[in-house]
Amino acid sequence: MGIAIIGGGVAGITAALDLADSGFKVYLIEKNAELGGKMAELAECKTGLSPKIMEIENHPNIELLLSSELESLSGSAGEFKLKVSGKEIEAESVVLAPGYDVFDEIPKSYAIGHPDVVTSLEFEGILMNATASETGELLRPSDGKRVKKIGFIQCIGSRCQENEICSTACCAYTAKEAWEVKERYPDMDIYVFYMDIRVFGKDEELVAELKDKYGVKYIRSRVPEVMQENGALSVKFENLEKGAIDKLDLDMVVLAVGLLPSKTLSRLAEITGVKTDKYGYLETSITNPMETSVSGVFACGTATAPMKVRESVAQASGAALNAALLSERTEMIPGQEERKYVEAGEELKIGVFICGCEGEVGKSVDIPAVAERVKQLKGVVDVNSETDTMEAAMEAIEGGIVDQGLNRIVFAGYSPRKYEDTARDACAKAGLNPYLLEMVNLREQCACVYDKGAATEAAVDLILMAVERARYLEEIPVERYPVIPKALVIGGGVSGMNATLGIADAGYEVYLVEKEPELGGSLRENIELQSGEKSSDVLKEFIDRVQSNERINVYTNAKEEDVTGRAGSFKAKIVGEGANEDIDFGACIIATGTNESVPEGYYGYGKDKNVVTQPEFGKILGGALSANTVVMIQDVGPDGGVNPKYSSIELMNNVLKAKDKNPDLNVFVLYQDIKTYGKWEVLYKEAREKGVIFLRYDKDKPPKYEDGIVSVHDVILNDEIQIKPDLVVLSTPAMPAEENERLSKMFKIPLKKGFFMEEQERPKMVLTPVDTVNEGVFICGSAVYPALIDECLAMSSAAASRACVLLAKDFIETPAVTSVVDELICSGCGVCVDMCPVEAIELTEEPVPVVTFGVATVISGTKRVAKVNDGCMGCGSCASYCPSGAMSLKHFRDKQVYAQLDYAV
Amino acid sequence: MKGTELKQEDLEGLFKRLLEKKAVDCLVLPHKVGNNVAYMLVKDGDKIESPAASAIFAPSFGVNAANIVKGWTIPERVGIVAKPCEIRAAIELMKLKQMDKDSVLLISADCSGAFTNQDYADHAGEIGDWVDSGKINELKDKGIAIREACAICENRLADVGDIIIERVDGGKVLVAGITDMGVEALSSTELSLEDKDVERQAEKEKIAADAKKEKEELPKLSSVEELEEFLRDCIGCKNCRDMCPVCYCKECFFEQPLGKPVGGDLLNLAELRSAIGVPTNQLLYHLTRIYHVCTTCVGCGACEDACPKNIPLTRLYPMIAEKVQEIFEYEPGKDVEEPLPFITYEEEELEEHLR
Repeated sequence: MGIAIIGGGVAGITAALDLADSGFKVYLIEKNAELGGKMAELAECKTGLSPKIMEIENHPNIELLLSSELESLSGSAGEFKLKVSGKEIEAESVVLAPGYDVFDEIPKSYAIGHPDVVTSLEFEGILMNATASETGELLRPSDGKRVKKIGFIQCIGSRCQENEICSTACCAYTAKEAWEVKERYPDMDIYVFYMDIRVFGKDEELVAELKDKYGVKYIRSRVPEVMQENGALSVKFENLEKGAIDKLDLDMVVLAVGLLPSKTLSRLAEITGVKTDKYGYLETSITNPMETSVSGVFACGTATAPMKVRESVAQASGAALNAALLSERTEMIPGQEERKYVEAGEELKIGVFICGCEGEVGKSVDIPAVAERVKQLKGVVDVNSETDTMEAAMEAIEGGIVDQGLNRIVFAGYSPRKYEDTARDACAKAGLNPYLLEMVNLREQCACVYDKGAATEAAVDLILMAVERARYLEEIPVERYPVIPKALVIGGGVSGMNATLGIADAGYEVYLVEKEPELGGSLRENIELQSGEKSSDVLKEFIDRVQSNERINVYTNAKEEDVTGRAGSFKAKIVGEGANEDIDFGACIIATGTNESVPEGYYGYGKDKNVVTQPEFGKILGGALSANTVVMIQDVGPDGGVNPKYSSIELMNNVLKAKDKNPDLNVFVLYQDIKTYGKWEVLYKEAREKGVIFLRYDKDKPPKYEDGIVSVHDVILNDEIQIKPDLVVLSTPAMPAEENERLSKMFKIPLKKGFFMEEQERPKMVLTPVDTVNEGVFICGSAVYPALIDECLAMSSAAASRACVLLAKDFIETPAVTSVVDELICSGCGVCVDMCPVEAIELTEEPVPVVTFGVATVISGTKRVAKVNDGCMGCGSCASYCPSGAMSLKHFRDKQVYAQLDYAV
Repeated sequence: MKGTELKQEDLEGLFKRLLEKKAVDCLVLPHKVGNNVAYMLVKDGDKIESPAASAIFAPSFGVNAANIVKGWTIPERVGIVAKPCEIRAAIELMKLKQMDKDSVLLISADCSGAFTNQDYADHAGEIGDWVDSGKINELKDKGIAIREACAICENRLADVGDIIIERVDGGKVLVAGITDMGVEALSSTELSLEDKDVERQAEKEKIAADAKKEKEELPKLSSVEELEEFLRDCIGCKNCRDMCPVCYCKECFFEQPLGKPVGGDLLNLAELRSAIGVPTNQLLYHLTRIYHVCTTCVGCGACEDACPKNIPLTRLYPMIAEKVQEIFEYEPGKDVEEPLPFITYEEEELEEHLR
């Protein structure tokens, strides 16, 4: 049987690859003729996504059903029967990832229809076209003139009557688009009209940078209409600084349109029987964020709520794991088969394969002419210029190696960044050492950047250079080591326990290490979750499951030390109460969570008993509430932490509970940005409806609390307001776990503000939100960025899924492209030792005997020689520095690079 | 720093006692040899003959003393008495592990700028052993000029190493230890040391200002064509490399087949480009060398002295190095604990140089 995934966007693709890579049979069902979904329409993202699409298309374990739709689903978990465009499929579990559609009922008032008024998605297309155009300029669609002023209007079709919830992604994607425009056209004027800036972590930094460094003007004003006069565009907005309505002329307007559930979703829900919520999204709960109302059917991505790519991907991996737990592994894992390579031999037999890349190369490069020229090169025994797709090219390469005994392959066409692994794999399959392959990027580095005549010449030059390099390529032994099918999970909070359970249920042994005397983390504070559940109930279930699982070894009051090794084969020591144990494991998950900050000294906290934090207020609400007037102040407290994602949600929850208890209660919320993202927006709406007063304070004039009176400068009224509260409630930052610093050093994973959020550096990391730079080590939960329980659970399931992909393998290949030292030449200066980012080089010392005849001394000196150890990941920093060339990087030896360069100059 | 004032001739006794008291096992000292000055490695203190004391200030530059102790990685301790630029080079070599910190005692002596050792020998009578800026100008008018590297040197005063020897008025010298090792060595010679804090800021600034002026007057290399013309006479002998104190490779890349192609390798290159200039790679050699020494170059000018074709290499190596060192805010040879720019990593740096 297998697992059926509905939807071939980024969520479906992620889930499919996680599953297929761990040996499950996957049916990937996509209604369109191509994979990629909405993400493939985003300028930057397409580049990141296409290698994954390529992987899917060539994956032996994935059956791809394009232009196909689910017609019926019957049976139950473990034995579903699906009918997909007439075809019968049997599956043990189903993952729904139908994605979203954009809001398309944009009011006429936004001058929709005017060619210079576009939606964000359309703007992505315009940016892509600008890149591809000859001048690279951003031109106005209406008249082709250079754009000088762009206005981005946020919350179109979100937080409005037609769609009352927040679309979550728009603030960040607008910031990204503004950044991209500013990076490329620094003198462009950019205006962003917004209500609240709802970004977190890295994106918060991006917005700050846009404002301060790039000069993007963020204007807090809901723009109701885009005006046009003789085709010229302008907007009116509230200028808070002046306290007046202002008019601004714009060359282009980008509408940040909101997200809605996919149009196919209601029908999908009907067919599968899963429940949808009142907004039309698939119904899930915050303690089971990927589970639908039908057992065995899981949901992920923007079908459950509006969210960003990063969160979608995390949910998709998590859903994959849940689906896998109901399914049987039936397939081989690609790349695990034993490979034998024939010896390349002395005589050079170079094969050059020039691929048309679906016409993209052929349209500007005269391929037959290039082939003719290349044929004349010494040592080139075959030039194939017949192929036009990656698949055909790979077949041709395999054939050439097997039939003609080619022993050096030059593959000119697609980008090596995306397709080198695939091409190497083709060589390996045919029995040729995969490092005897050289690639030429004829697409991006040739056809896309030169006009027709120049492109052909450039193609010849590039291939000539590659052929020269290929002459000097060496076989690099491909070695493998066994994977230890066990995992280490650090942190016994809800994220850590969830990850532990995921891995253990998938059949692997887990060491769970918690520094505190008991499991539970921040949920041990007995609180009521947003769903109304008691945290103690949720926690009890997790702890019971962990403790009753015989594959899980729990260590409390303990920590891990002396981690060594690499993905698939780590070693460490667990020390602590009654434990001193050496362990080995193949994967590690860091789930250290977060700490609440204590705002000692802020607004009299600690001295004045009427000043409390939001969590403390939550506890007060468990009993009687005597206060009549409450002032809440957001974003205050000590430095060194971050504002958690749930800060505004926690506040709204408490406000509403308080209002329930005492409907006459006066509540004032002093805020900067209310970040009730997604469906949580309704809490904000409800609070306003219930008479809670929201006052935005100026960042430079924070509220004061003196002699029992809070005074605040309200930005909208542009006046000072005084309130006499009975209670002041502070929303404070979340602090990183103390051990993060130590773990960061031990695992060589960077920290930002004490959290592991550095990993989400755009753009490449959004697709692997729980992976780290240290392969085999994963991060999840609030250790990455303080988040609500649903996101923590999704991320921890994702981390478990990623770990299982690794643990499912029997072997891992040892990195082949690593540095080597020529000991005879090495001068022992040791600069490489300090340069190495992974501490993989050490200096060895040995005495050198004297060769003269005096009696002064018995040694002539100390011979210091660099030695490369196992950890080398082949970055080449050492080789690029070493002045004598004693250090070199395999596959990028001086002679190989020089041969190529000699043809270039 | 801790030190004491001595008569200049008493330095001989100090050097002898350093050896006697085993503060060092041997000592590299400048000696008078006929009209000239040359270094000697002294094991027996009795060999330190008058006028050794005056030789240490004699304005003659032959070889950079750091080059002599390059590779001193034995426990026995050597002391070197040399000009500040030589001591700076030694400190860079320590960072590069080409000598062991604990087994080299660095003693720097004030310098007023030096003549090439040929010029010095030819005019020893006129130059004398103790010159100051006035004397240097006087000699310059007579057509006897200090080396270009010295004329543009901003760091002539002894302020680096373990021990410094400063010239003070009245033919006296101030000897002071500026590191623990230096103070310890001086103490062992039974000198009575006291806390000294001689501020020579004004003098330093004047030297720097004069040097900057000289530097501005030097012809600049502003294009690749000019550089090619500048190096036109290079015969690829690599003396500049061999005499460079901070070039430290065991086997230079330009002695290896890729850097110095011979036979078939040479023929291959000729085939590739139809015709090539031979010997090959002069330009690449100098570009590579400047890349390798740009952070560590102390501007001693030994490269220029070594060039048999009289190419004024001071206008190339120290001038480019200075620009690079400015970017990294790095002063070579100032402090042995200061890391080399190559091994410091900052996530965000040099942004103004990237855009």
